[in-house]
Amino acid sequence: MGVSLTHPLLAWGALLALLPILVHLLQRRRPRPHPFAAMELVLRSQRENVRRLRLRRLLLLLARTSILLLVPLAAARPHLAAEADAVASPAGPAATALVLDASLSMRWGGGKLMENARQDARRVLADLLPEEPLSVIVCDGRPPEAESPSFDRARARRRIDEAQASHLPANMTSCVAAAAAALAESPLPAKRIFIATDLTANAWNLDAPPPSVPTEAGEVQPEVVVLDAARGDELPNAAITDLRIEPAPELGPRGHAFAFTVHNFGSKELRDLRVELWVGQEMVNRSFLDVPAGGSASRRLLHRFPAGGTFAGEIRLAPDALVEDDARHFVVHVSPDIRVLLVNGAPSPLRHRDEAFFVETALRASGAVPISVRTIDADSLPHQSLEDADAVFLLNVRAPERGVVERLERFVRAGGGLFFALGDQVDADAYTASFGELLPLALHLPKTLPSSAEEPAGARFDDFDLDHPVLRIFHGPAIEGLESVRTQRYFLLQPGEGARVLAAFDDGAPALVEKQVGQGRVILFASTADRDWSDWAIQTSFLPAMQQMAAYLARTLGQREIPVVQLGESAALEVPEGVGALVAPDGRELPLSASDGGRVNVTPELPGVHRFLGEGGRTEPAFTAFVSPVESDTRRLDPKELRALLGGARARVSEEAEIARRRETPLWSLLLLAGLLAFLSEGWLLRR
Amino acid sequence: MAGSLLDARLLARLGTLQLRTRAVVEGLLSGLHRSPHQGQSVEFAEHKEYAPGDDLRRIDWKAYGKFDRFYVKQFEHETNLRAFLLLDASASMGYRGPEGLTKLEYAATAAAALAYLLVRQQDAVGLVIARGDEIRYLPPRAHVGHFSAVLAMLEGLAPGGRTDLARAADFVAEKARRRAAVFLFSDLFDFAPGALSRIVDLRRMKNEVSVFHILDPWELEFPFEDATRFVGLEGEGDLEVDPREIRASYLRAIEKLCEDARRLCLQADVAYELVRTDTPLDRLLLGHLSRRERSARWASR
Repeated sequence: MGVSLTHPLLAWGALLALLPILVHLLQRRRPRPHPFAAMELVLRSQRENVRRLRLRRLLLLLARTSILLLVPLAAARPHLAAEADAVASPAGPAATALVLDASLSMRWGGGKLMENARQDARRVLADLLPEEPLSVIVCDGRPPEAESPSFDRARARRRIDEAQASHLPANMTSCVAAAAAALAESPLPAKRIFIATDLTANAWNLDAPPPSVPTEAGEVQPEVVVLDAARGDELPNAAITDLRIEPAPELGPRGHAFAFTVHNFGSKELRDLRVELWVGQEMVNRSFLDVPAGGSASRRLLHRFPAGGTFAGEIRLAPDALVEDDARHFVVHVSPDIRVLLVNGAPSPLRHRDEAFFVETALRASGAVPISVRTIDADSLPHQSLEDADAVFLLNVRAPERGVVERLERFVRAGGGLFFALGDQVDADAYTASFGELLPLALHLPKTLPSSAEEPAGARFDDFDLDHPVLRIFHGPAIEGLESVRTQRYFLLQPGEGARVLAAFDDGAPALVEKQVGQGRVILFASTADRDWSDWAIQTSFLPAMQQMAAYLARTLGQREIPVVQLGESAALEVPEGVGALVAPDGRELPLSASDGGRVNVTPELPGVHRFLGEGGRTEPAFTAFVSPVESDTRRLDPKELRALLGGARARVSEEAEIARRRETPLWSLLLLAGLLAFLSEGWLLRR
Repeated sequence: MAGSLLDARLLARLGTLQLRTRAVVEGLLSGLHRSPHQGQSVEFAEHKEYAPGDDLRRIDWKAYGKFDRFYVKQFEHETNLRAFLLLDASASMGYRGPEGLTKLEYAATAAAALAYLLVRQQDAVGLVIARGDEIRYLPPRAHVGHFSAVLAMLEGLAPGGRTDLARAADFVAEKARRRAAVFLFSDLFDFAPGALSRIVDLRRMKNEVSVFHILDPWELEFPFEDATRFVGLEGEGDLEVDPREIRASYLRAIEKLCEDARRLCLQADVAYELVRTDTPLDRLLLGHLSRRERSARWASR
């Protein structure tokens, strides 16, 4: 046990205690004489009080000296270093590193944990011997900055005071390793690491070796003291750990389902946990969940958007001690209604033989995207206005007059969509001559495959471009719906440029091609849209393909999807032209410097919707970020387990009570109290 | 009554005892009562020219006939009072605070004024000044001219010597062979055992004794703040002390001194008056005389 001073320079102020003695000595000048008649009474009074006065003077001098001695000594903050601290410096002063956990989980309790950790860190700072250098490492999920241990206490205190819990996951193991590496730069042989943390298990790599400090004499295992910011308490927490948004056709047009999962990381079951779906500033749906202790529960909340557009919102849990993971933000694009004009080139009174029957049926089927379909005969096309259509489907239509083609071309160049399905009404040469540039590829000759009795003739689709928005939905097993299509007759197409082949027949002939014309899109299917030449119309892939086709041609499909990024991870963003900055959820502007073909890597630090800031202050959603479920898992490590992880006997886990016990004899406060008593005594003696 | 004019501080500005006495006496005249002994003796003494205020019945009409001027007859009143003014002029009486009169000046002025009043009502006044071992004495006389002798003896009196009340009392006892009034003006700073008792013993010799215990306000209040070196006026030596430290004890001691003196006087039927030197003299004398007159009436019943 020994006495150490936190601010040794202030102890020099104790020399002030000499002042009363000096004043006493210097003030011994003879006072002015005063002839007095009642001298006998004065002498008697003096004789009567001489002992008391001598004692009073002595006490006064003692009180004044004590005040001036004790106050500077107290300001130097002396304290007794108890034996229990021996773990801190068994071999004299130790190079010290302080790792301050500032990860998301430290926000638990509205910042209570972080404040506890800061207090612990300040106490560590106060307890350091003057000859002990310190390095402060704030472990907030960013790459740890481990500086060499220094004696700059003010800087260390500032780092501690300014440390704020981030929204990022932190790897305490790597931060402790960084601290150990920083300690290697101090020549002091003894090494010590303090870790102020909440002991959440996920922050530690349990397979990592104990920290060690490389020195000239070899690896040194530092003393490790873990300061439990949670003071041994459990940290119950519920969090939304997953969110998927998908169309909900059962809800009608623009219906969406928000499927989410809630985890309960506490030891008690959560009953009737309220979950709300907010779109913008309006709560549109809510539900109540029972989540078992240590388990999870999933639920879908449905919502039908009243119109198309881009909507931001969030799923909210009833707030708990860690509110940051009680909300999951989203941005969803809702397609507007699509207006499709079907031009029937071969109508028939028999519905199943009608050229437009299958397409019309597919488009009218209720889907997530509402499509209004209007069907006309080919003869009506010259008189039909195209202004109220987003896409025009020409189904086995003879080559129209030039005027009609010009209107169609203007329609497409202005952004409209045009779909060609061919058939017996189509003359290749007339088509090529009439439509010209509107055709993705010029028509050549129809090809008919021979058939036999055993096996029905038909070419298969092959070589799909599944990256194309129209076919993207056929990823995985859904591709079978396309592969099962058999086409007996189709038009061969002439080679050309500017067209994109979405699918080809197994003989290599293009089956589905697309071309961009002006602002619009044109897709051509080389066979029929009814059952005359192909059986696609009765395959399962036909309906979704047609709906995708309509949406794509109407430019409601293939919109840039809003990425979802987990905090702590990076994401590559495609930066639209004219965008120079990103606006974080807290309103801060983060400059963007796009590279690699307009892509930029971002590592968000806040949950919520981040937006691109374009010219004129226009913003559009860039991505949404959510907190790492790793940090939501606030289940704590057993202190014994952590001790074993950090070096066994050379490590200990300390709670507040233990820290307080170390300070049972804070000498500075006793000195201050004694100084106060001396001050009061001096006042009392003066009045005696 | 122009009390403010008789304030001790104002009196201190008047250079001589005569002026001070005159100021005091003029202030006193309007409240003065007649002598309780007036008219009890008829032995003619002398003529005096009439002055306003003289009793018209005493105008000597024969003399008026001869000289055409008003004269009044004056008589030696054999039964009138013989008074001894005993003045303590020891060194301690020379003390005064930051302003006002010394105790001795105050006592001398009071004694002179009292002498005038007594002489004016035909009482015989004698003066005893005790100044250490030295005692100055002026035998009692009742005629008006005697007042000048009293005044001359008091004028310019300097303090000196130690207070010796016993010696002064013995002297007075020796001189006052028959019943007399004794007026003592002293600070009573004689700490010899039984000193004041010797004064009180004069009462047992059938004398009327009045003790004017004269103290300076600073002696009563001890208002010193800074460290002070007190120097004794009667050779007690000096003492360096923080007055605040002994104030309470000193005040108890001075209070005890006064209380002991008062009690001793009351027990022996001696009039006792504690007098601060900032007390207006007319108030002091008027008060004393009125009390004396009341006690005389009471005794005559």
